[in-house]
Parts: sequence; C-alpha cells; structure tokens
Amino acid sequence: MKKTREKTELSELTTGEKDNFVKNVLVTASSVSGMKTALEISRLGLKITLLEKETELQDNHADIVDQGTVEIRNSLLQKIEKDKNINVVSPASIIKIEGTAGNFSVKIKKDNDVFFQKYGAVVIAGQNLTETVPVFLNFHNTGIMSQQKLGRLLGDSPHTVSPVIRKAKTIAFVFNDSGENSRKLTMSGLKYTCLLKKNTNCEVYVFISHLIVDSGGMEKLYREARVLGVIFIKYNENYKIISNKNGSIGIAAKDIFLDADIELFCDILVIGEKFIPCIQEDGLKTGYDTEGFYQDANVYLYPVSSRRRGIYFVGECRGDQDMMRTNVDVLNAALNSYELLSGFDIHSGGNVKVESEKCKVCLTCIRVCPHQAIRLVPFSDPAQQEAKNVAGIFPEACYDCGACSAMCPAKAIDFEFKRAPLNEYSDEQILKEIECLKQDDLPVFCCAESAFLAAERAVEINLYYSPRVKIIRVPCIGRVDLIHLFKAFEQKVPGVLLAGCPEQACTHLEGNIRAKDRVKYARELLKGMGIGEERLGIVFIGPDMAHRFVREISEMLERCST
Amino acid sequence: MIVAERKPFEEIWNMISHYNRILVLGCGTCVTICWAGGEKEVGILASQLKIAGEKNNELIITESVPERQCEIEMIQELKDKEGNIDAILSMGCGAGVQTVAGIFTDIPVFPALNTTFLGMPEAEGLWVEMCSACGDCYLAYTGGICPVTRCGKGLLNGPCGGTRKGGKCEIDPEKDCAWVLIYRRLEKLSMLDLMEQYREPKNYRAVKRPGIIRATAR
Repeated sequence: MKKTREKTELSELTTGEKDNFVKNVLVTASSVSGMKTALEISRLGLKITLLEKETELQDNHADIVDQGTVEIRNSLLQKIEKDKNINVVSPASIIKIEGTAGNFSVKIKKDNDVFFQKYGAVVIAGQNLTETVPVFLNFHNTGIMSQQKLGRLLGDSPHTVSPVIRKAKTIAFVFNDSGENSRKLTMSGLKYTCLLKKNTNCEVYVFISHLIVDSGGMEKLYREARVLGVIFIKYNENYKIISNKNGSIGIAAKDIFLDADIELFCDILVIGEKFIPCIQEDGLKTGYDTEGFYQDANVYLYPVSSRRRGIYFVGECRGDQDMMRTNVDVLNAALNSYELLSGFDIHSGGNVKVESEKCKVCLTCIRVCPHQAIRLVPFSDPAQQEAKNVAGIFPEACYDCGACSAMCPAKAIDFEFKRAPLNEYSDEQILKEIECLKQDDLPVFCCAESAFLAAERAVEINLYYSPRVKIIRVPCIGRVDLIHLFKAFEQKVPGVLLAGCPEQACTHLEGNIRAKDRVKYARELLKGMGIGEERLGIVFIGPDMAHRFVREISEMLERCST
Repeated sequence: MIVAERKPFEEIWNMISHYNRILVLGCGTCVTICWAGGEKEVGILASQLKIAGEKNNELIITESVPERQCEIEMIQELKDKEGNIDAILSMGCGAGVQTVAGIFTDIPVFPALNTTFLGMPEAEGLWVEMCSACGDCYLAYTGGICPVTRCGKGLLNGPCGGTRKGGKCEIDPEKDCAWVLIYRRLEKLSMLDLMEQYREPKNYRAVKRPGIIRATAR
C-alpha cells in the first residue's frame, strides 16, 4: 500500500513538470568541450543548437594543450556536420538568459540581429582567454617567451625547430606563474621540455613551486622528462627575473632542497600564460568564483551545476581545466540536461508560495533568491479589478530554501507544502514550535541539510545532550527570520542558537552567510534591549559532525546560564 | 521612494515605556520597501517591546499595517481603536506620523523611524539618496545626475577641484564625485557643451515651506 502511494507520488513528481519543458538544449561552443557536449546530448536524442562566437567552430586552446587537439577537433567537426540533431549557429553569442529550467528564453545576438529563442537547458562550454603574464612588457626581445610562442617555434619534428631555439644552449621554464594548479600549462610545458631534449642539444631547467601530475598521462610525461635529463628545481616563494652585463637573462629563486639561493642564466626563458575569464557581460546571473570564472565556489554545485537549475558549465569556463576533467564535465552536463528534460530529475522544490495580495513589489525576494526562481508575474486582484505585476515563484527552479520568505518585508511569502500533511517550514509551524518553548529551553534552529543530520547522528551514536535543547528544523538557516529569534526571546529562553552548513558548503549557496548577517543585526537590536550578544549564537557544522554539534550546544548552554 | 531607518531601541523605549497599551503602526508603501516599517519590522518592534516590558503585566501591544499611513481615509479606518490604546508608535515616514497625529487627536503619536532621504535601492539592502526634493529640477542640464544631491557640496557649476583619483569625492573617498559622473555621461551623449554653460545661483526658495501643490482635475 505504502509502496504504491510512493510510486504514484514519484510518477506525479516526474511527469508533472517535464510535459511543459522545451526539449532542446543550447550549447555554446568555441572549444572541444562544447562540441563534445553537443554530440553526447545528441546521442541521448535531444535537439541541440550549437552557438559559436567566431565564424566557424574552433578551439581557442589548441596552441596550449595540444593533445592531438587538431585531430580531435577535425573528427568532431565531421561528426557534428553529419549529426541531424545539431544545428550550428555562428557567429552568435548569448546576451541574456531569462526564465527557468525547461523554459529558458535566451536572448541571442547573431550578426546585428537580436532575438529570443526557447531552450530547455543551457550548457556553457569553453569561454576563457589566455594572457601572457605582465612581466613580458618590461622584457621585450630579451628571450622571454610564452609557451605558445615556444610551441610555434619548436614545431613537432627535429627539422621544424626554428634557428632561434637551435642557437640556445640553456632554456629555463617557469610553470606555475599563472596561479595555482595550472594543469594545462604544466602538461604542455612538460611536453615541450621533452621535445626540446629530443630535438635539440640544449640544457633544460624547470622551475616549479609545486608540480601537479594527476591528469591523464602527466605522470608518464614527467618521468619521461626526467629520463631525458630535464632538471627540475623546486623553489618556494617568488622567483625573480634577472639579467647580467652581457644582456642575457636569468632567474633567481630559492631552492627548497638545497636551501640556498640560486641564480641561473639562460638563453630563453619560457613563462606560462595566464588564463583569464572571458566574461564581458553577465546575462546569466549565475555567479563567479574568486578568480572570476563561472560557477560559484560551493561544493553542492560541483561538478557542472550552476545556481540556476538547467544551466551547466563545462570545461574551460570553469577555470583552468585539463582534458581529462573536461571529459568528465561533458558527460555530466549531457546527463544532467537529459535528466532534466526527460523528467528523471526528481525535483522536490517549489513549496514556497507568494501571497499575491500582500506583495508590495519591493523586489527584495527577486534579488535575494539564490536560484533566480522568482520573477514578476501578472496578477489580477479580484477585489481591485486591476492587473498588476507581483512576485511569482517558479517551482521548477525553486529549491525550498526559504531565503525569500525570511527577507520579505511584507510577510507575503510562506511555505505551503503540496502533499505533506505537516506544513513543516511555514511561519505558523515555526512560531508554534517557538511558543511551546519553556523558560529554560535552548532553541536550536537546525539546517535540515547539515546540523539537523548532525543532531540525528548524535542520537544514533548515543551522545548525550541536555534535554533542555529543543531542536527546530528549518530548510536552511537563511530561513530563520528575525521575528523567529525575537519570538523565542519572548518565551524567556536563556539563548538562541542557529546551526547551519559551513561556509561555501551551504546547500542553498548563501543561506549561512545571510543568517550570519542577520544574527549580527539581531545582536545589535538585542544589545539595545539589554540582552547580551552571547545569548544569540550561530555555528556552522557539517552533517557528520555529531560530536562538534553536541559540544557547541553544551558550550552555548553554559554561556547562557552564567 | 522615501527611505527611512529605524531609531535605536533605547530611544524608542524612552519615548514609550510609561504607556501600557501601545499600537505599533506600520506603513505598507515606501518604508515597507526599504525594510524599515513594514509588517515584518512592526512584528520585530512589537516583539522587542514585549521583551523589554515583560515586567509590566498591563502592557498590551497591538500591531497594524495600513496600506499608506499618509492617507487620511486609510488611517480613519483605525479610529475605532482609539479607546483601547494609550499611545501610537508610528513606523511611517514623517508624513505618516503627522497624518496619524492629525487623526488621533487625543493620544500621543511617536515616531519609531528617522526619515532619511528620497532614494533608490542600488543593491539588496543598500539605498542611496538620489533627490533632495528641492523643487527646481536641474537634471536636464546635468545628464540626469543630480549635483544638488549627489555632489557633496551641492555645486551647480562643475567640480570643486578636490576630486580624488578614480573620480571619488573629496569629502568621502567612498562616494563618487557627482561631477565626474556628469562629465562622463555628457561626454557619452556628446552634450559636453552643457558643461560650459553657466548656471545662476540656485533659487532655493522655489518651494516655500511648507510646500503645497494643487493639481487641477484632469
């Protein structure tokens, strides 16, 4: 009986939304990853529009990472040409993406034409540029060059080596100038060192701060370079570019193993490029990481998801990705978009509702929503007989975090569960739970995704915590409204604690940061009322930190009781 | 819209602590939108008052949020509550407080907000002043950027000469120099000749206080 009900519920969930979904996918190309994604999605039977910025499909990174890229690209191009599901549009670019998963309305610029097109999902692939490091400006014509230039001068056989390289006796490389973990540059750099050793007679030195060889084939390349006689020097801190009286350049750094400063003069110094994000205008509203590449730094988004359900990032636009990781991204993005559009992606959100009559159209919720699930929708008030635009939540993009509900200044947004008998996260429910608090209780607002699980775990492994602790489950601590905190203090409780996910690991992206700010503001207000700030606490704990959870609440109890 | 900010709780409490039956009156328009006096803030203030006055057993806090506090008709609807309250704590702008005081003639009305300026939200939770309501609009000549409000010194004829690097204001390095913004905008619109025109000293008496506007029926 129970199973049948679950099944019907599941089928309701899966069939409900996909019927309205547009069954095609937009992929931005300009890289191998984009083309690969298009082919993968095509294999799953969806229609694809491949958008290319340039006049024809190409790869910006062919120079840097050529792992047979030219051949790969040509074979991909042939396959795309034959594929009936793929429609290539070029030169064109995305200006803006409106709407929600399954029904994106994408504003596309083609030549001088701007038009809207409907897509079910969007895959952004390969959009970054390379930049030679600024140091080149000061050392023009001195023998400093980028890896791309070296690659061009080197060719791929002993006969194609340019005389410039042939003349050089000593060549030094610096791999890690472009920031951390540049796997691409490390790989191409290793390749060039091997080529140099094979095809010329020069000495090759490599300066590295840390060498990461976890990409496919990298370990092998590194070993090969060592066998061929490339000398690796591990330095710490910064290196300096120096020059002597003869005009030859060199590099000065501190060798970690020798624990000594060393200077090396060379004929050619090869410095790695820097990858910079190629984001001119943000019509995507999906956030960036600290370096400005697409995709926020949040564990729940990895590998390819974005803030907005139905938009995926693949390969180079996520930063400096090597081919192995890009391939994983490609498959993930293809699978995700297929799941979304064919209804296998069971989405449990969309239980937050706007009470249209109360909406003051202040746009707070639209600015707050981490998933861009709220837009203005027309609403005709039966009492006033006039149509106006009010906030509307689109269930297919909503993840039930309740950030909007906590922020709405007119209290127009609340949870309203479609099938649960308990309206668990609604204002009414939370306030009822607060009303039940006794004078000595410590209410702990627990994020359902982290702290609540930690609390459950603590019970499972028989960790003791005081029965005075009353756990109130919320979908995210960003849901906890100021009024909830004050209502709790009205019950004369000794303190209130909020427990949510650790930073950059909030299931709802910014809920914990919002809660932190809110607690800061609430403490100020409480201070004015003579309530010490120690009585309102906030902690960030993961779902498996049962011990820490118990420790934090007992510390909080101690603090409040004194 | 009108932007306001809540007064510190101590100040509000000092005004209101010796009254027992208090009506906390919000406003559903401008101050709701600027997070200062909407239904939520009314709830928070009411809750704060309840906590602060927990020793007073006779304390009764009621809450109400009319659509606009500055409309006589909308406040008149609350008139029947007058017998049951000792004081009103208005969370409207200055206009709202005075409208309420004009109708509730027998009980005191206190402001819970400081009405600060006319502005717009630049980001979530960040409001900036845009208009001084000077009654004599100059925006046609300054590329739609108001020097009266956004220039730290309210200058009408170009920047003061103290502009910092990066187009920041001499008085506050965090704020933009309005005249740099105006110049850039006029440059873009190729209307730089407006910069060269001399502006007479401003007639600050364009609106006599208190201002009254009588619009004829349309």
